[in-house]
Amino acid sequence: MPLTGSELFINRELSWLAFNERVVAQADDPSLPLYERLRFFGIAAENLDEFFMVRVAGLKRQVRSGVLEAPADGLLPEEQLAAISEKVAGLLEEVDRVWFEGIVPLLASADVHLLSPRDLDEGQLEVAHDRFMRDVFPALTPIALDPGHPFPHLRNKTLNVALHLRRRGKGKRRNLHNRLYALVQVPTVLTRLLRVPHKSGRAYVMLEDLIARYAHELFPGFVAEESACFRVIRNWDLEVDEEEAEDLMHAVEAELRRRDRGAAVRLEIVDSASANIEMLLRDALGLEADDVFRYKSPLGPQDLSVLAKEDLRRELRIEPFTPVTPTEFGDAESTFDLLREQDVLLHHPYDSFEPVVRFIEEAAEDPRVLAIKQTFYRTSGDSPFVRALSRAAENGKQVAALVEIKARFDEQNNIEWARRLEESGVHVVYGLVGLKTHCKAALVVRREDQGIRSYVHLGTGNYNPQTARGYTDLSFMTAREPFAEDVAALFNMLTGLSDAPTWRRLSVAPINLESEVLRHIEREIQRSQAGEPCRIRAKMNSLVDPVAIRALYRASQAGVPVELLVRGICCLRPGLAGVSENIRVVSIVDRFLEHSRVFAFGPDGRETILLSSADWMPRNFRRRVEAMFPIDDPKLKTRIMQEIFEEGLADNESAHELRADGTYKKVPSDKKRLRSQYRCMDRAKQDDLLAAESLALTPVRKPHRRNRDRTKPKKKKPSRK
Amino acid sequence: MRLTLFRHGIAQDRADPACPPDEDRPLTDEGIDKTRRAARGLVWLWGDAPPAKMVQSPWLRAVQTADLLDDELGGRCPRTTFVEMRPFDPAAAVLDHLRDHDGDVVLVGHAPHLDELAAFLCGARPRAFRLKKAGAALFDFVDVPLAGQGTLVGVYAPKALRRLGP
Repeated sequence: MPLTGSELFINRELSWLAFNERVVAQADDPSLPLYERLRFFGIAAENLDEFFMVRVAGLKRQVRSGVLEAPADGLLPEEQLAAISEKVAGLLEEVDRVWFEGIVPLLASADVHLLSPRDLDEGQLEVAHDRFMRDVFPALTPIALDPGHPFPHLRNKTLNVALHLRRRGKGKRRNLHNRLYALVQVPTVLTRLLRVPHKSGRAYVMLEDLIARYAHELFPGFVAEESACFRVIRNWDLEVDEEEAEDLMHAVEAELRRRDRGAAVRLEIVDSASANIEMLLRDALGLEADDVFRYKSPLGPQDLSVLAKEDLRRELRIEPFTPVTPTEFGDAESTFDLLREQDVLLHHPYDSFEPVVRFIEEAAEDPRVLAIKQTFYRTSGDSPFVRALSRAAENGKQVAALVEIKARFDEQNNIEWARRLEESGVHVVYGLVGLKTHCKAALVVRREDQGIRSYVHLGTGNYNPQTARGYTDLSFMTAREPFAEDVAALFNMLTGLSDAPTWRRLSVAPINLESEVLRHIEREIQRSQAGEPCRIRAKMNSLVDPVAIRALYRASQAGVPVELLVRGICCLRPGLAGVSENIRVVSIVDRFLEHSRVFAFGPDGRETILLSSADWMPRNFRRRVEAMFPIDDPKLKTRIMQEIFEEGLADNESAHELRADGTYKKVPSDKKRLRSQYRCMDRAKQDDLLAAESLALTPVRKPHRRNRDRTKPKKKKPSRK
Repeated sequence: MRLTLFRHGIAQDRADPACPPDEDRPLTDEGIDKTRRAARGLVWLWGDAPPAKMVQSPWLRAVQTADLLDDELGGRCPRTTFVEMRPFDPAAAVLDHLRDHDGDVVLVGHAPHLDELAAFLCGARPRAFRLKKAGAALFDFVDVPLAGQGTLVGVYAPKALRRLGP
């Protein structure tokens, strides 16, 4: 059967929306405590903002420019926008339902009350008024709308209140407006919720409600006849002409300034808003009726995370989990000693990210280290990596940081710390023109008694200690030469624009990563045709690339069992007769964001296991620098197969299975219940406990030396011999 | 009855430019950790006679401290908020509030309000007490708490409370 029909593919935007539905479903999961549900509720809203800022904005641009090229699923941009609009409307109905039927009653039972000013008693109202006048009022800017005061620029994602005001008192005054529309932006620097006293629990009023209630303070002489809270979402994608840009960092900065003025793509407004106010806003923002979304639940619910921050009651939060540092790191004198003896695999966040931080920190201080090279895609604001690299440069080492300043939503952040690194003497490079550097690699070159030796870290996740606590990722650390050579060549390619070498262990996009993936799929097809055992298992965030999808269809047609763990977008349609009936697609959405990319080709016990920074998407294969690398150590392979695939594919608590029609169905938990992330957490806790017990039986050893005081002159480490 | 005064833990520094208004200053991470451990010690001190009621100041750092104490009590203690327990409120108001109440009570609040209240309860000079953050003072009364009628059971520094806890 030919594999060319558009019906073989699920539209990527609709598949993304289906993913966000699964996130909303988490907010409705009665087994989760209140603040965990509220967290998912906020995540779903934040996701939807980003979807409109990037994807919908992109489709609108295509429509404007008359693009007629359709993706593999055949939907033209205009058709996609219509389908998105319909699907989002359904999603919002569900969001409102989850809010009113799921979260509000839970808040009430926890004695937490989100009150409207109407609900406040006299004492509460007095406090609310005092605090409003003292803490909020001075930060507000009332803006009247008339021909002399044109519609102001409303910043992306800000919350605003539109007011229809009427002049107080009898009779109209001449030459004065007796009715007018006005706007007040809710300042982003203030907490969205204002606390008011409550007899037993906590009570809050939303700032936008207070602004509407006290509009007369902002517009003396007027009363508000109606008010409506709204948010504007704008096009947020960067358009930098890299070929023409003399200095990429300046070009990105200039674009960032322009970006906040990107066209509006979506208006969120409270359901009670009048048609007049909606029309006024739509006209001013240049939006169509389809771009307006009415909410009964609060707009921008991500701001409500402050409730969880303030409420420390344990039963309302998910049980905290502390990542565990594997014992080998505690036992080893230094990371370098350990890596000379063995390869290390870390499964974050169950395994702590601390050893990765320590690897670079140790390198920065170690007098034998000559050079450190590291890629950065996204990192935390106050990154220990950035600090360590600065110190290493100050210590006279060769330090190169490959910073991807175009990492979406992090551009401003990346520019700031790239500057800091440059100031301390680090060679900061911004990657290859036209390609985003998405691979996660670090290389430490050290002079040792036997000569120069290099140490490597390769990962599936970013060098970001914060996200490493919330995303599942894999880290691989080794001192083996073929890896070190490849990673060194990768850095030379990125910083020196040198030609790609013949890779020994790595596959690198956009050079040979895609062809390697396809080659592995092809090999399984050949195995099947030869009557040998064969199997494909792959885990990724998104599966979009039509070439890879067709290869998987061919594998299924050839009888290769294909099992995929795809957390987010999946354009592959499983279960189609004659095409994909041997393919199963499962998505896990749980406490941690599934983020590792792992591919296993071959029958049980004989798999080739590859880890990667790349999803199977055209952009990862062709427009990014990505790395894929094999795991050879049998022990590490067994661990990956068990934790990632056996448990992931057997998950029947947090897993949904994709059906041929593009919808997802929760995997029934009729068998023994298995929740893969919790299984991994339990295992990590168990290992930690066993390590603690065994430690109690062994003589006390000096803890690993960490140079806490970085200002002290360093002493040379005594030789262990 | 037994009355326990428990001062809130370490909160965000007022000098921090990102610090919210005083009533909304949250506990810091260190504050949360130390307060939780102090609360554990306090629960150990109470033994099998925990208070029947918790009365908290409306300000955030006290409410969070009460959260942590409540957690250590297994979330069983009924809680109320009494507005006039802010730092500057007069000590006597909360006693009026407790007059109709039976059973042991823990007050979670601020200095100098709790310091003045402690002095007021046992007839000491106004500045006799200086409760530390996440520190506690325990008083016994024959009947309802009245000025000068309290017997001081003990004043506990947070460090002492942390050591008492399991």
